Parts: sequence; C-alpha cells; structure tokens
Amino acid sequence: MKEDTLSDVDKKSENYVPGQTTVQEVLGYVSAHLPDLEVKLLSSRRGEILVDHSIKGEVLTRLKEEGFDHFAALSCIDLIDDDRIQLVYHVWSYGSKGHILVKTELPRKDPSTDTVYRIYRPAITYEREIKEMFGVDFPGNPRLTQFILEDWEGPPPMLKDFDTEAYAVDHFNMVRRDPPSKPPQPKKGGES
Amino acid sequence: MDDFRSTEIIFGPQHPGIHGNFAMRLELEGDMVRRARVVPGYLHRAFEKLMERRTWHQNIALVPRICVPDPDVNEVAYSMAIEEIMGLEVPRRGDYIRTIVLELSRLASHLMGLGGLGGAIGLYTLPMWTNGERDYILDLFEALTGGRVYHMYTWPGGVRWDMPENWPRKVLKVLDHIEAQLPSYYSLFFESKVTDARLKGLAPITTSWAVEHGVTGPNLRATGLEVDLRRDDPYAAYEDLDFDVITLKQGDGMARALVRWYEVGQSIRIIRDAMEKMPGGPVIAKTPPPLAFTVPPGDHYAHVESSKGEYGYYVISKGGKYPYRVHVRGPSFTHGIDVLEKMLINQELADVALITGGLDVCPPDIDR
Amino acid sequence: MSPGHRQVIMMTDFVKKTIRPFRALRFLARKPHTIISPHEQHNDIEGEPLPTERYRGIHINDWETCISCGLCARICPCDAIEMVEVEGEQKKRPEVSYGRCCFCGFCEDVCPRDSMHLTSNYVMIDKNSETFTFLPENDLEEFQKEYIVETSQLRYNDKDVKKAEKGPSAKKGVKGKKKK
Repeated sequence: MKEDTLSDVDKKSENYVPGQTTVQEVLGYVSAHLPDLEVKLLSSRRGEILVDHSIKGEVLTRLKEEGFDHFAALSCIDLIDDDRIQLVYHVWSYGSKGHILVKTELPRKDPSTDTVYRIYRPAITYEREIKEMFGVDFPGNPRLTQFILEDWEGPPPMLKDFDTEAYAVDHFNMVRRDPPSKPPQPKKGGES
Repeated sequence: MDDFRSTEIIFGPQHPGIHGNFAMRLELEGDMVRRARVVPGYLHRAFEKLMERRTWHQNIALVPRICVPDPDVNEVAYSMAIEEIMGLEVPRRGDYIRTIVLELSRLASHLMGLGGLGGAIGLYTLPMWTNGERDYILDLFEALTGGRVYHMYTWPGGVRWDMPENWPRKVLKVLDHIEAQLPSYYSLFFESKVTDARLKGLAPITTSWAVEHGVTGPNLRATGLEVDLRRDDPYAAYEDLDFDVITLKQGDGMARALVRWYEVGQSIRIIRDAMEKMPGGPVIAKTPPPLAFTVPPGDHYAHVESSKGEYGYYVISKGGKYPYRVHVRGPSFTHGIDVLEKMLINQELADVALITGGLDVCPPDIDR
Repeated sequence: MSPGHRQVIMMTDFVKKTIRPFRALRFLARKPHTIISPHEQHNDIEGEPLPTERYRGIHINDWETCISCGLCARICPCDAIEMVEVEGEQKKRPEVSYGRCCFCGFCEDVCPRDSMHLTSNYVMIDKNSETFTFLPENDLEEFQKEYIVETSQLRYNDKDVKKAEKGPSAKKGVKGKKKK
C-alpha cells in the first residue's frame, strides 16, 4: 500500500465546509430512490437505514456526499439466534448534527463483505478489529493484519458461542474457584 | 528501501516518551521516520466480552477502567445509552452533578495531558505542578464519590449520592486555586522558547484531512472546525450552561496544546456556572433495585465529548438482566492508530513522543 | 523601526530576561505537594483531613443486623464476596477477598439491612497473602492491631520523619492556606 504523507494531503483543498443535509432529508431521499430499503426515523437527529450488504457502499457514498462525513464507529453484533452477523455503520454530520445508523446483515457462516475504507478512511482500523474479533472478512482492506490478540489460535473470541471459561482452563492453567464445596476457612490464616 | 540505510526500532511499551502502554515500530532513515506501525494490545482486557456476562449495574464498576485519566465519560455515556433505551428521565439535579463531575474529570485529564507534553520536551517542572493540582481535584472526587481515580458514581437514572454539604464550597476553592496558578504555568510552558521551537509547525493537519481520518475533539478544533458534542448534541446539563467552543486555525502541535489550555479555562467557567444554577430535588430517578434491573430490547448509540475526543457507547439490549452487546468507540481508536501512523511519516525521531502526546493518545481505549 | 520603538523592545527584553527570573524565587517558599505517609496527615484544600467519610476502604459488617441474604455476594462485580459458614454461627457470613475487591461499594448499596459498610480505612500491609481474605465484623480494631502498617516498615529519611512528626504546623499544604 502506498502511504500518502501529510504533505500530499496539504495540496488537497483546504476549505472544509460541512454539509447541511438533515437526517429527514437523507432518509426521504433514500426511501424515494431505493424503495426496498427500510428506513426509520428514531428521533429528530437520528435515523436508521437497513440495507443489503451488497449495496451498502452506494448508500454510504451518498451519505458522505450529503455531509455525513464523520465515520463515528463500526459495530459488529453476533445475532446467534437469527444465525446472522450484523454490522452497524455510524455516521455523523458536522453540519446538520445528525446521526445515521446504517445496518446490514451477513450470514454467520463465512461472513464477508466489501471494505468501505475507500469511502470512510477510519473504517480501516474498525474492520481490522472486527476481522480478528468476529472473523468477518473484508476483501479490499489492505490492513487486515494481526491487531490486538497476539499469537491467537482459537476461534474469534467475541462470537457468542466462544466458551471463554473452557478456553481459559485449557490455555492458562486456570484454577476454578468453586464456592459450594469449599470447606469453612479459618478467620485469619497463617502467621502475620 | 536499502537495508543498510534503514533501521527499525521498537518504540515502547517501556519507553519513557511513550504515552501509555503501546508500542510503535518505526522505520528510520537517519533520524527521519519513514514508516510507523502501531502495535496495540498490551492492555487488552476484553471489556466488551466481560460486559456481556455482567448485569447492567455491575458494568458500571468496569467501564471507567477503559480510560484512566478521564474515567467519568465512560460511566455517563454508558448510562445515557441505557436511559435512552429505557426512556428514563434523569432528574435535573442529577444532570447538573454529572456535568460538574465530567468537567472536573476533563480538567484533571487536560492538566495531566499538558504535564505529559511538558515532560516530552524535557520541561519536568510542568508535570510536577500540574499533577499536584490534579491531586486537589482527586481530593474533590474522593469527598463526592468515595473513589479517587475510578468513581463508579453515575448510575443509570442519575448519580448515586447527592453532594456533601461543604462540597460546592471546596470545588470553588480548588477552582480559584487552579485559576490563580494558571498564569505561571502559561509563562512556564507556552512562553518558553523551547516549546515554541518544538511545537510550532509540528505535524500540521488540515480540517478536511482531519475529518476524513476521523479526528475528533480538541485535535479537530485545533484545525479550525467549530464542533463540540457538548453543544452540537447536548447531554447532561450542557444546554443550560454558558461556554465557548475553543478553535484555533493552525492545526499544528502548538494549536493542539493551546486548545487544551484554553479548555481548562472553559471547564472552570462551566463548573462555576453549573454550581450557580444548581437546581434542587432528587439526584436519581426511581428505578428497580440493581439486581432486578432489566432493560427492554433496543439499541442506542450515546456519545459524549471527552477530553480526548468523541466517546461513544453503542449498547444493544435483547431484554433481560444483561446487555447483549456493548461496543465502545474510544477517541484513541482513530487517533492512536491510523492518524498517528500517518502523522509520524517524515517526522524526526525526537518528535515522536511529542506528536503522540499532543494527540493525547490513551491506549486503554484502543485495546479495551 | 524608530529609536523609541527599539528602546521599548529593549526594555521589555530586559524585563523578560533580567527581572522575571527573580519572580521564580517565590517558589522557594512553596512546599512540595508530596507528604510523608503515614507520618503526616493528608489534608484537602481547606485543611480537612483525608480520607473523607465517603472513602471506600475496608469493609465492616454488623453481624447482629446482617440477615445473610447474600445480596452483597450477588451484586459484587468482581466476585470478591463469598458467603461462608462460620464456626459457632448458624448463618453464613460474607467473606471479602481483597485481591479481587475493586471497592465499588455496590455491596453497601444493595444491603437491605444496612449492615455492610465500607470504612474510610484503606491501609493494610502484611507479608502473608491470606490476610487479605477475611470476614468483616463490627469494627476493624482487632484487624488493625495486627495488620496496620508499622511505621518502621516504611523507609524514609529520618530527618523528614522528624519534621513531619512535629505536627501539622511544620508543613503547610497550599501556599497561603492555613490548616484548620
């Protein structure tokens, strides 16, 4: 990956003007142009769009053009009962002070979806974390390297079916505290 | 790159110039950094996983540990998300006390951050002094909450206890004391020629670059964009209070330090204003007891302006006594990895600690 | 630049370089923030002794009012409290392990009979690690007798200790603020 340095960036336009499109306008636009999407207005400043993961890139590009250019977070939720993995893209507009959650769902088996880091740069790190913690693959992301877990060999640990206790007992020689069968202890043990 | 010309050094996690527990692999050419790679993970305690197995209230004891210098934003953001899902209304007095606690915490964090910056340029008097003042704030926290560093004071629905009787007087006294010391700190740090030479023009960023890379908080305000979640998406009692959003144009290391400096003054102003306008009444809404506390299904993303940037909690409930999932968005998650790696390119090795400190990177919220 | 202007600049330069450094002398009278614990009392800005009443330290539990409901053990986020059987007692009593305790005070909050309390005492030093698992009782006196830190265990400069033991008047906290 070629790294663009700060001096390259300086040549880009200096004047930043936050977009003024409100949440209502964006949701209206989305429901008019993509009628099969489910949109919800949660409050005057918050909206929610449910998209299929194949077209989330288009929706996010449009949102960025409309001024929702702060990528606040990318959350991943393991919906084990529905056998799905949900990704939530949080975007915020500095101009209209609105927050939109773009939700998309992936199958739980071999989840994979295109990266959005070319649209929203901060996603590069969030995707890197989710790859490690949930096992979701993001083709196109150049930084899907080892992140927090060093020398990790087990399954992705944030999945709901990951048995934390069994893993700890297996790998770290953990001593389990077992309250019911514990004999009464002397009040103060040993010499001081 | 020719192997003979480049050297790779590992900077941290035990380096005195590093800002917390993380490491950087720097590829150097002479004295210049050509490539930087951040190695986080030294503080990974799997908080998000732990929170799924603890009740809503037990998590209050867990979340402040995500950010050590500025712990209260975690409790407040987490509680705000729960309140929004439940439709709980916090009593006004509770909101005001939260605001005061948040601002005291911001004050302590900024003083510590500026001290760290002083240490990075070799001005060791400043960290001694600012940490000494911070200790008075910790004394205040101790009198109010019972804890010095981790307070566990905010509960879903309000705050745990009301203020002690003589506490407001003590707060104002500490503020007066800190305000009286500020001019000498200013002349010590910002009027120093060393500070000028080291910080002016250090790794400047533009607003559009900062927005694109997810820079938030004081670092974004230092580039000239007037954004502040306290004003843009008011929470607690900020909408009633009087304060300015500090912005500077340059976007360099000096601007980032100065924005923090002026915010210290604004925090003092907010606390005084809140003390004056403090309403009466209860401090916590009526909620079920902690062990019978359940939250209806729903999700909410609550964000607050911490001393380092935007702090967000995305809480998902499927009903019941435990959260289904909690996602924490820390400001250092963007500042500390992607932004830092880019900003370090073509900088001198001696400036690495200054840039990291200037961004106020706090590794615990990267690792969680 | 006019000569007058230059003179002004020279004057301000003179003030900056020659007079200002002398202002630093006033810091000679300022006492350090650090204190010699436990010889010296830690005071807040008004000179009131710390820790305050609300400080969350070692537990006490009134065995007469305690009904052994076990709520404290259930709320404990760190799993530090365990209900154990005690010889000569019919009820189980909470036992606190201070290796786990995070001093959040939730046990105090949920206690229905108000018997569990966190005192403002936090000093405990001992060589034996089993000391730090104990059954909180009515008062800490017995515990303190055995396990409170002995002053000889901490190594300070003798001169500093003598100065501190002279009394609070020997050292002032904040400049200009008198204690008590």
